[in-house]
Amino acid sequence: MKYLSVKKAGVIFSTGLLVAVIAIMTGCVKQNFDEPPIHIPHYPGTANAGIDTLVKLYGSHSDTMLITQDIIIKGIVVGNDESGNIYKKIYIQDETGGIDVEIDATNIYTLFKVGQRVFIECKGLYLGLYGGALELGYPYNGSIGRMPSSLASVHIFRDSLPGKKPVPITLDVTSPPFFKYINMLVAIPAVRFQDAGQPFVTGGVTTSRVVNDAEGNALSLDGNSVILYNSSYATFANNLLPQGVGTLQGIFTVFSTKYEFLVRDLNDLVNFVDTGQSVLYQNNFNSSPPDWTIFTPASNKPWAWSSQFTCMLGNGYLGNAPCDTWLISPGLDLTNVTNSILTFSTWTQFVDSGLPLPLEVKISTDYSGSGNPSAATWTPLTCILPAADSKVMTPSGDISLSAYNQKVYVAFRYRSSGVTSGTASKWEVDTFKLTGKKN
Amino acid sequence: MKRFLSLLGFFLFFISFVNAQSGKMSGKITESGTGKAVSNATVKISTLNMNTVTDQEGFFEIKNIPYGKYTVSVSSGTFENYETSIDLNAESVTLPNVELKKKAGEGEGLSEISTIVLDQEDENKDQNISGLLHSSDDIFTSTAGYIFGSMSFRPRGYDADNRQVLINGTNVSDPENGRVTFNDWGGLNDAMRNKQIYNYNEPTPYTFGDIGGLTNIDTRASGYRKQIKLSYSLTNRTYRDRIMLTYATGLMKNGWAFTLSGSRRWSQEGYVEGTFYDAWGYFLSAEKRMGRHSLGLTIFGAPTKRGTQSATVQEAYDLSGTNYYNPNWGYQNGKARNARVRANNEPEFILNHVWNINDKTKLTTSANYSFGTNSWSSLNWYNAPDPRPDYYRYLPSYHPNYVDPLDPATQYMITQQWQNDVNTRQINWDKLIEINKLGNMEGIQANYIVENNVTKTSQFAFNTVVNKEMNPHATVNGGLNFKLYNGHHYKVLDDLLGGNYWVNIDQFNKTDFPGDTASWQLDLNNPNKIIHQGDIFGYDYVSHLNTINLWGQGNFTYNKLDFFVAASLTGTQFWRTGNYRNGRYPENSYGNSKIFSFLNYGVKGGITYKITGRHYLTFTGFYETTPPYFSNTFVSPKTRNTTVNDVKSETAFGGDASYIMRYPWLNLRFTYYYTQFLDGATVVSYYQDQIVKNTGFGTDNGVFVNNIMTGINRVHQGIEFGAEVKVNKMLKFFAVAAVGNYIYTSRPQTTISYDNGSLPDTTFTTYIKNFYIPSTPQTALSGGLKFNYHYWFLDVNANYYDNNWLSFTSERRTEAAISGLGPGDPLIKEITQEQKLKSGFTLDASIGKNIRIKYKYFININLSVSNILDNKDIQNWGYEQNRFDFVNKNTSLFPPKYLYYYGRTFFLNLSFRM
Repeated sequence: MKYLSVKKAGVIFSTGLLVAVIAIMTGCVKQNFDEPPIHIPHYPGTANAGIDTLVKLYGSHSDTMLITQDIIIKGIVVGNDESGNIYKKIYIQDETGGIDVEIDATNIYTLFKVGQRVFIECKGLYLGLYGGALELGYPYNGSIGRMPSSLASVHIFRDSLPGKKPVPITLDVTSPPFFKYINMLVAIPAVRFQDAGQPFVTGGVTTSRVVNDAEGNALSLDGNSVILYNSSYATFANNLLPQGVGTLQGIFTVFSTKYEFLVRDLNDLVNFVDTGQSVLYQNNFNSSPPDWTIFTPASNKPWAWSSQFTCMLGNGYLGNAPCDTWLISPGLDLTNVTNSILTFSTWTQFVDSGLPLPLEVKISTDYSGSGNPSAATWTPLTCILPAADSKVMTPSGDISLSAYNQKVYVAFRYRSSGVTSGTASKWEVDTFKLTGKKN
Repeated sequence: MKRFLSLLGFFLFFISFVNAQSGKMSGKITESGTGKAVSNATVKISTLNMNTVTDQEGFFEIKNIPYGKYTVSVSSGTFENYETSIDLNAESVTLPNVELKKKAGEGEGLSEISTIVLDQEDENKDQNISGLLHSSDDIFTSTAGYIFGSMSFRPRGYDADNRQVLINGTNVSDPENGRVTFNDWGGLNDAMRNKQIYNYNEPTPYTFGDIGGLTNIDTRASGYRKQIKLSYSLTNRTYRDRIMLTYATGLMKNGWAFTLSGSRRWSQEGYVEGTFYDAWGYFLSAEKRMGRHSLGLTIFGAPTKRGTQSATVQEAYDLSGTNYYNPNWGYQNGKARNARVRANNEPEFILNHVWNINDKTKLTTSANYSFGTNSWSSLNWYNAPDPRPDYYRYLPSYHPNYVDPLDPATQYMITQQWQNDVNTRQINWDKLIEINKLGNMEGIQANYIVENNVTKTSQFAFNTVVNKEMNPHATVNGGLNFKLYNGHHYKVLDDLLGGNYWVNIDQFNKTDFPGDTASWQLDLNNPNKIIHQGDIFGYDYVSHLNTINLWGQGNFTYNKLDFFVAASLTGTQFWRTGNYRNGRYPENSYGNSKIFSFLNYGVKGGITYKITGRHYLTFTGFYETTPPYFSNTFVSPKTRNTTVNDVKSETAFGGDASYIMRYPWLNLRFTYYYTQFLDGATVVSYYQDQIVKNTGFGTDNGVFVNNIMTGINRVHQGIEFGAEVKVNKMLKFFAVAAVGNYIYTSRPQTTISYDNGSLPDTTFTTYIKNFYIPSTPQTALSGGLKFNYHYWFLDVNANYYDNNWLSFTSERRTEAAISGLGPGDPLIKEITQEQKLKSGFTLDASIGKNIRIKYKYFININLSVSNILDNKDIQNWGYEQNRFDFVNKNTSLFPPKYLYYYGRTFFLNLSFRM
């Protein structure tokens, strides 16, 4: 066998090298990936309708309704499924209203952030009512349901990067109606939770929590009760409902005769401050109050409980004499209580021309608890009373009893100057409540 | 590139350094009858463990042979074996011209096919690859190796871990699962060319062996013919290009021998869309002969990165219009990116010493050290939609189950999106990055990441073997080896995909135990750890595995009868070390587990009865016990130390009987075999959407479950047939058949263990008695012809596969799965029946030519084409999804996933050697 000369080896390797180099230069496997620039979505079209158009379009339809018109709406995402409390849907709203957009997909929030502007080409989608709230989706078992996610991708378009977080509309609980805010992001100031201190969700199932006003009375809007609707899948399901009073934000929705709040995360419970204030005594006069004292120095028309109006009623008309009757609360112990506040409401009708102030509200620290009040010292309380014949149930305003640190009695003294029309007025007292912080 | 240049530099350095001369035993091998040179024949002096192969001219030489009398054997895959004796008492002895009788014709091209099979071993079933490494003398084995191997064929239906591959006598399979890590030397075909193959229970001089047979790769430098070889291959399979460059000095006068080899395989995209291949290989072997001693060092490695293909449901294939649809990739910034990248780099160092103590006794000792990593990337996501395009909810078929009534227009639209929008059909990387960046604006953690599941191994092995010829009738072999292994398993955050960070918690536990933040922790020692790119997270544990083995064997040869007996004793111990304290298992996850120890043994023996020189009968039998693997012992090693209840060794016994005929014109083997396995165990883990509770059925949050099956008994029996008929000097025909019957013979116990312990473990009987063993064709047939004429070679073969069964899930073969169904309900059959994969017919051919230029340069050109008929409907492999819809019992909700055999592919190889 012959042996290789260095020269031949050189020839071979020049060739080999050349082949190898060419092959490798052309054959490098590229596996480095550029990170694409941030994608700013853009919808080329414009909206031609407000969200309220959908509401009007649906009108009083009773089942699912196919949208056949070329309606394009534009809105801002106000609620999504990031925390899990909202599931397979997003809420969008514009100046005219809000809508629940049902999509059969999870983790929609990854693309539809709160604050994202979206356009929806509604033609081909369906509208329907679920529990009274309007939903944009697709039929399921004859009712409105979720649209397949692939359908969503050709109907719902993002436009630009997510903007600022939308600011909720603050509801004035005294200005009904509220139904127009359904599916919108709203806020109610000064509420408290009946089940404060308990978790949002108990028993691992969706849990409703009653929303009360600051005083602890059940909130009622349009005559509907208001609840917090909490999914067991919410990331905050095990957190505790805050004590005290604060502002509740969330998606405002409805199911049958209940208004529901869907909070998006714990930031929707704003500034809940626990003052320690609690209700020390309350009587809404839903039945005749056995613990109250009625003493009537004159007339056969004493204070009486009205089953018709569920309140206490004073009325000297057609009595046997000009009326003087006392409605005296049970003893209210303010020992070691600070910030004690008394509220009630009154209502009046007719004018007593002989008596500018037919109802007096007084307080006493030395009343015996029964019998004739004349032996005790009574000090008038400053409060708001309705104007004569105004016929409006009028809150008293907060009456501070902070000056008292012992047992007190509150009395409503009703009088009339005569017994005929024009000399007797009619008064009602209701929702008597004392709050304070026990120390 | 740099790597390749430095390799070239090495070559040049060695060429100028080496200076060789004569001093040898040499000779020429020709084909009986034609007188044509026989190239690539192995010439071996067994007692010295010296061998070489003939060159293109049929010449060979072996140098530095100590004086003495030797038996020289000559073998070539295509010829009958030949043996002769020489008395080496001069500086240069020339063997009389050796004429080999042709047995079958095999060009170089065919052995290339078998190596392609290895390269092609596919990612998802990476470990299922069968295929013996190389053709051997046996027509059945060679066919099973290079033709059936590409069809997931497992000889006798045995598991991959029943076959051993040794390098220089040391077992190099993965100790954690017993499987051969072919990737570790991928592309080094020339360097790994010297092989000895032993079938099934055949005795081997290296070790006790295993019932699936054994291949020993000899990398000692003196075993390589002196050569410089450059080859280039072009193919359309997993890679497109391959370059291999090999330089070998052969054994030089100074007693040294060197072999260097390097290779590069690559493709931007393979046969399957979205796959890429990026592999290097390097090999260095040095050997020094000193009298009766030889000392060798081998270093090799094959850093490889591959974008893989995953099996998916038929619906996805049908929608995409191809059975080679690959859900693993998608576009990122316009470039195809694969999410499932397999990477491995585990270099191996082997030091070995051969001591020919005397003419009759040889002591071979080796020490191996290997270390490195292999990893598998995947997407992970948190609070975000599943990014995999073939997720069942994204497929049109999911929708009729859900949207009711689904109008045809919507269904059509969903289908259209799948078919026409590449970002629906494939992973939408740009969207994943966009989502992460939107999340950054809110300060939240990344929704999507790419993670790497890494195993970092280190292994030391020591092996010593003595071979002694007691007398002309008896040889004894024996040896001792031990192995110390540890595998560090962890995840690394590979790519945040534009996100800012990741948090090291278990998101399933966050859902299942919402209030219990401690239980979310993957590592209580570092709660809520913020993870950045390159950080370890997810899980982190070490598997320790030590084995020691002692074996002995006697071979006896008589006129009419040969027989052997062998026995082996193995001690195994393994344990787990947790580096994380899991929030759900704080007391049972961190630190060392209990140490499991096993003592196992094996015995085997065989008889060959030589009826005449033309007819033989052989019988072999064995009985052995094998320890359970680490992975079949720990229920969920990623989280804790808990093991299956009854950790047991598996027992196997069986035997085979063969009839062998050898005529110049006919070579035939017919074998019947029978093997029983008892007490096997498997553990598989998966995500279960709905859980069967103890009390009945119910849906709950999904959870990760471990499915532990114990008490698995199997019977493997069947026949093997191989015959080759030589019509004339140019033409031969062959036929092989493997017809097996591999079935389960017990009703194993399945335990479902919830990874997070959210529900108690449940154990139930699995009704799979008489089920077929899946994932290998139980019937494989092949026939063809081999034609050669004036250095032209043509091979054609036709192949048929059948009785390949779908890998099934145990949960569907339980009382719970069919509870509530009345007798005779057709659903019962649908749920429990085993499914057969589509059978297949393929036609392969290869044509080649050897060219000799001035007796100095040799060029080989070979083109082989597989599956010429382009049959794209052969299901190669598949599995039932482990998820099952227990509530509605809808088997089509989680249909099986399949992989298809490639359509027509070619492999063109050009090599140049001098």
